[in-house]
Amino acid sequence: MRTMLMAALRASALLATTAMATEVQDRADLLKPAPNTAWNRFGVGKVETVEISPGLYSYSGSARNIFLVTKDGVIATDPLTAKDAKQMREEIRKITDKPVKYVVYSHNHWDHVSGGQIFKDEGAQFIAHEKCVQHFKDKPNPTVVIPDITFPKNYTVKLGERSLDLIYLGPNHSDCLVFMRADGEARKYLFAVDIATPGGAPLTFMAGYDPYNWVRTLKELEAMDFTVMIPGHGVPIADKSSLTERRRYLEALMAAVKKAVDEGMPPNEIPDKVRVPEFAYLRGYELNVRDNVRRMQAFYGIGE
Amino acid sequence: MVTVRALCVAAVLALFSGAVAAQTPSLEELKKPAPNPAWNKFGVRGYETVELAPGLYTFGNGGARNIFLVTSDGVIATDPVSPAFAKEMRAAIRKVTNQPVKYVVYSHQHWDHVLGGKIFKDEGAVFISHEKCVEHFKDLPNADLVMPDFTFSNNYRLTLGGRTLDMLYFGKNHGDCLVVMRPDPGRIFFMPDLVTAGGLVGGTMNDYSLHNMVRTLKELEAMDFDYLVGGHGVPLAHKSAVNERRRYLEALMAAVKEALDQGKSFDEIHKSVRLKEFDYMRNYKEFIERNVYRTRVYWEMGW
Repeated sequence: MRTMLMAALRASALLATTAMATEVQDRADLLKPAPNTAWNRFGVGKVETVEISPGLYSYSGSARNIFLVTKDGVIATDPLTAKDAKQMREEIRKITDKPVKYVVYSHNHWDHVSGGQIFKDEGAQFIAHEKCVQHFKDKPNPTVVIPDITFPKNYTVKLGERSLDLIYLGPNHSDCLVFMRADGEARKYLFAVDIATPGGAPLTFMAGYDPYNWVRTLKELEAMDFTVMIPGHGVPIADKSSLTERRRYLEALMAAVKKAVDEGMPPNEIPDKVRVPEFAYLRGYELNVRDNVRRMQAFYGIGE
Repeated sequence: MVTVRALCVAAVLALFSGAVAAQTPSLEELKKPAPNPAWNKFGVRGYETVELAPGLYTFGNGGARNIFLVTSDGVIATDPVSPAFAKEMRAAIRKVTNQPVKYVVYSHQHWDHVLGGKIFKDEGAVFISHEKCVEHFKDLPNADLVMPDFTFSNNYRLTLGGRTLDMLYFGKNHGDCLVVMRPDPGRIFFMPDLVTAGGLVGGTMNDYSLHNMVRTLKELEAMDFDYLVGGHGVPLAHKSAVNERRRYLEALMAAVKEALDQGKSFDEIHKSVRLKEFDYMRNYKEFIERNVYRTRVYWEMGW
């Protein structure tokens, strides 16, 4: 339905900015607490823009981001890839004629921050936590636009009548990941990239994660006054309890691996034997648990 | 002189689960260049002390390994590994000299190398590490860890009783605080975890920067020395083990990049990308898929 609508819009060359992003489908279902099977319904790669709260939108393509439309322009976030950035630019134009004034990076990983040049070309300022810049310099990638503005802890982007808070909680999935939330009614939504993907088990070795700081960060997020998370992959919104579910899974996994190590289980048997069956309902559990266990083995073995 | 003492059997880390228990190869066998099957001859067995050069010893049990330098004014020790390991190590040092241990130098922050130093702290040793290790020790405290008394930010030369031990910092590679140690006269380097001679990279390669590892290994290849001591495995290996590891990593990175550029799915890449020219290496069958996975994520995310 939405595809047809978009096709119709593209066909109307003279049509002004009348299109609206769709409302979040199944909003009530997605806001039910964990465990929540509605969180498994998403299509990877399907291009879609939804309005989450007045002025706050989420674009989804190869991954997900948010953007905030103000009277003076747009605050965009992760451009994802060059292909996504181009599609996203079109999606934004269907909503507003205002320029993209800022692009904020959630963290340093290329699957989130590539492809920003299209926004740079229209004059946008790029913003990231200062530690991301070290990664960009250490491992240059021509498709990553280097940030113009950096900050050491928290930062607020102000534009028009709106603002977007960038919240830094130290190392976790990266050492420069920031959580984002807009002002006003939108304060109940937190854009939390990669710290949890609602309803799923972490992928294999848990790329980049420091398990100890991951749990710490999740606890700090659980204590914050918001109610809904917007993830960097997957469904557009999820009840905040998805963070608790991920934290409980990690803690159970860590406890199970520690117990096996303390009881002297041979290291090469641990990946095959240690399981947390109470979380077997998580999406991707069977596929990933063995490598999740390996990651915790490295954590307890060498503090990695 | 080679002194071998089987004192007890130690647990070996998961990353060495494929290693075979075997008799100790001679230093002459170990000194031959890569590919060298003698480098595979280690495993679960007793602790041993091997004198590599005048005053320079390596102590280990196959699972973990360090070096110590005996001088006229005391001993410079390195990675104590664990309380049990440090106790055996203290006894082994006493068999060589009555001098006290004056310094303990940490190679990097990982617990399988740096725990158990208290026995040396109690006799008055000063602990040394690169300054970035301290950030990790503070972030993730461990009761079995002695905090360094002294840190440095780039390279550092430690002098004691007319001998020297250089700590050489190459930036980020395996962690971000690893130092390669160079005891005088500089022909043998101690380089824990940068190279474990003749084997694939173990573990999940989490705290591991692939391009910085290749860069570091190239920098080491350009340096003038003859042999290396790793942090695991055999007591000594020819310098060409550095080149072998570097070529393996480069081949891995190139093969995974090519598969990604061809548009292969992640799953297909994990299952199909293989490096036949390196399948002679220890643990190849066991680790190759995980190495490929890690490298795919590297190219996808830049991590």
